[in-house]
Parts: sequence; structure tokens; C-alpha cells
Amino acid sequence: MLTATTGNRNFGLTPDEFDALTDKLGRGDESLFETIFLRHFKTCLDILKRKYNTSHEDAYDSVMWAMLRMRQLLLERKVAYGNLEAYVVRMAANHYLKAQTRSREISMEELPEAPMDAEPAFDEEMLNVLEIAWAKLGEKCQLILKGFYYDKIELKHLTALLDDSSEANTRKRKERCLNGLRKLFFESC
Amino acid sequence: MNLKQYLEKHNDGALGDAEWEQLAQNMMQAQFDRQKQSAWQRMLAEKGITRTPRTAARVFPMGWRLLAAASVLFVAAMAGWLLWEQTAAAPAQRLAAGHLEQPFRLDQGAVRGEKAMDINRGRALEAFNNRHYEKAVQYLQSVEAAGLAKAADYFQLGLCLMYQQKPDYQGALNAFAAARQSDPAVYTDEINWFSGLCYLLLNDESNARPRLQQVIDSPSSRNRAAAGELLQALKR
Repeated sequence: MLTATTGNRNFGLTPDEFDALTDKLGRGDESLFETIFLRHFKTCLDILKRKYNTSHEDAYDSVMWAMLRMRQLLLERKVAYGNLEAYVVRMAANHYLKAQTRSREISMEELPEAPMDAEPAFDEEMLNVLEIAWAKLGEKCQLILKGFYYDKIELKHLTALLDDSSEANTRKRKERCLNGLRKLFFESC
Repeated sequence: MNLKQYLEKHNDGALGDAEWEQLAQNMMQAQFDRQKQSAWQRMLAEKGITRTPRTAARVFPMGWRLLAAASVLFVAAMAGWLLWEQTAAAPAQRLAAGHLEQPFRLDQGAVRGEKAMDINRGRALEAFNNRHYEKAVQYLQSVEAAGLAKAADYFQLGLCLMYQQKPDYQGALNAFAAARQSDPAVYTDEINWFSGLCYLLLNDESNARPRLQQVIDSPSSRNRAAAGELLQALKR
């Protein structure tokens, strides 16, 4: 669990409001998250530009990336109330600095050995195929898979959302949908 | 690993359920992050926060340079005239760039029927909706190369060339002209509107004005008020 504890710079949220936000996110309701975080987007953007002298576009991309990661971390309950604003800025700055390092021209001799996890597990072509397969997937399956894997909605909440008979039933449906996606994905290659 | 390797692994029965689940999850994460990012970009644009001071960045430094030059050469009538021209164009250009922050919503119903005719057309639409404009351009160029391009394809190509990371406004104008030539009755208002924006962003006021005037004169155009604002900005 990551916690930043200096001061109370949490996008104006109290601890209770923060809990409400993560709770809502966990149920698939993103409205509060989007209101609060996007309201502070420009603040983070300006900090990054001022502190790191980044271009507007680089700062925008980095803050956007950090906001997406923050959403994911909140959904996975991997970040706690503390100093969220500084945390987002730090993530954005790290992202920017890494991108700068990647784009810097260095000789082959200077290249460090790539870590095993440096390569993404998939490429752009695979995302294209996923798009095609996804479009062929039923709406219910799309809802289940996106809800479970991307929106990190717990199965019990998905069961309620789908008006399913039981959590076990929702789990089975999720597995069937995942297999269905697999079939469509490899058929679309 | 790439697609071919995964396909081989799948066909060999070596791609386990857990591995597929992890792969699918990672791909979904990337795919939906892009959609989320697009949605957030639209929300931010409504608040006036955009990623593209691309145009502004081009306009403002130029303005500053001209301003500096004018302070030295303000007695020279030609330099003064150039400065006036630039500063007059800047507000209109900023407005024009602002209109491109909200991508045009293609009438999917009209295009969907065509999708089956050419897979690239369907892929182009999906890429467009996901704001992968460079990719959409490639698919649309394949449609064109196959001799299947229609007015709607050229229009979509023009939009992509405007919206892509490095806009090609002249290319967009050519695509809009091709759309008009292919079917003069389709997207007339939109073609006039977007052509006007392209000319503005190319600093070509003389061609931008008549296009914007055509938008204002067309009762069916949804952009009459916006075109009026742009013409007003040009007069300032």
C-alpha cells in the first residue's frame, strides 16, 4: 500500500470523502472521481511545467497517464489517503523523465541490458485484433469483462448489476465470456 | 511476444487459461485506457484545457517574434502591415483550433452498411472512433487504393488528416475536395466548415472567408454561429 503523508493535499477530499470515492469507483461509478481529478488536472499540469520545465504537450500527456494510473491504483485499492496530489505529480514526473531518457540518443555501447519486463506483452497489431473480436462479442459479455477486468468491479457488485442469481453464476458467465473472447480473438487473426 | 507467436501457441494448445486471462486483461487495460483518455480529453477540452497549444504554440511565438521585429522596424510600413496581418489572424486561428478539439461524430449508421464491403473501411471507422487517426488514414488509403473510396471515405480521410498528431491541413483540403467531387450532395455543410478551418490554420484568410460565408449562408449548417464568430475574429 502506497501512502504519502505530508500535509493534507488530497484534492480537497476528507478521509471520508476519499473512502466514498474509492467505494463508488469500486461499484463502477466514476463520476465523483472524474469531477475531482479532472478539476485538478490543470494544477498538476502547471506544477509539472513549472518544476520540470516540460512542454505543455509533454506535461499534458504525463499528467493524463498519471491520472489513468491513479484511477487504476484506486480501483485496486493500492493507494491510501495521504497526499494524493503530490503522488499524481510524482507519477507524472517519473513518466516524463522516463520518456525523456528513452528519447535521448545514446550509443549502442551505452545501452544497458533491457530488463525482462521491459517489452510489452502485446503489440499494436494485437490491439487491432482485440478491437475486431470485441465488436463481435455480445453486449452482456462486454459488460462483464470490462466491468471485471478494467473497472475492477467486484463479482458481488457485478452480480447485482447483472441481476444474476448468484456470484458463482456470474463467475461462470465471466469465464465463458473470456473463453468466447479468446475464440473470437484467434479467429480474427 | 507478437500476434503470430501467440497464435502459434494457441494453436499448439500451449497457451494456458491463466496466460490468456493475463494477456486479455492487459490488452483490455490498454484499449479501455485509450477510450478513457479520449473521454477525459473531451471533458478537459470543455473546460478549455487542451493538449494542443500546437496551433497556439505556432501562433504565439510567431506573434512574439513579429512583435519584437515591429519594435525595431515599426517605422517600416511593410513590417507594420505584416504584424497587423499576423495579430489579426491569431484569434481566429485559436478559435479554429478550439473547434478541432471536439472530433466530429461520424454518422455510424450511414457507414455501417458499407463496412461489410471492405474490412478496411470498418477498421478505419473503429480507429477513428478510438482517435487513432494515423491508423485510420492507413485503412482509408487502402480503401482508396482498392478503388472503393466514396465521398464518405474521403471526408473521413480529411478529418483524420486534420485530427492526427501532426496535422496535414493541405492533405485534408485535398481529401475534402475529392469528397465533393465524388458526390457533391454529401457532407456539403461539413466540408465547407472544415475546409474553412483548414484554410484558417494554414493562414490562408482569402480562401477561408468564402468557405465560412458558405457555412453561414446555408440554413442546414449546424456551424453557422461558429462560422460567424470566426469571420468576426478575422475582422478584428
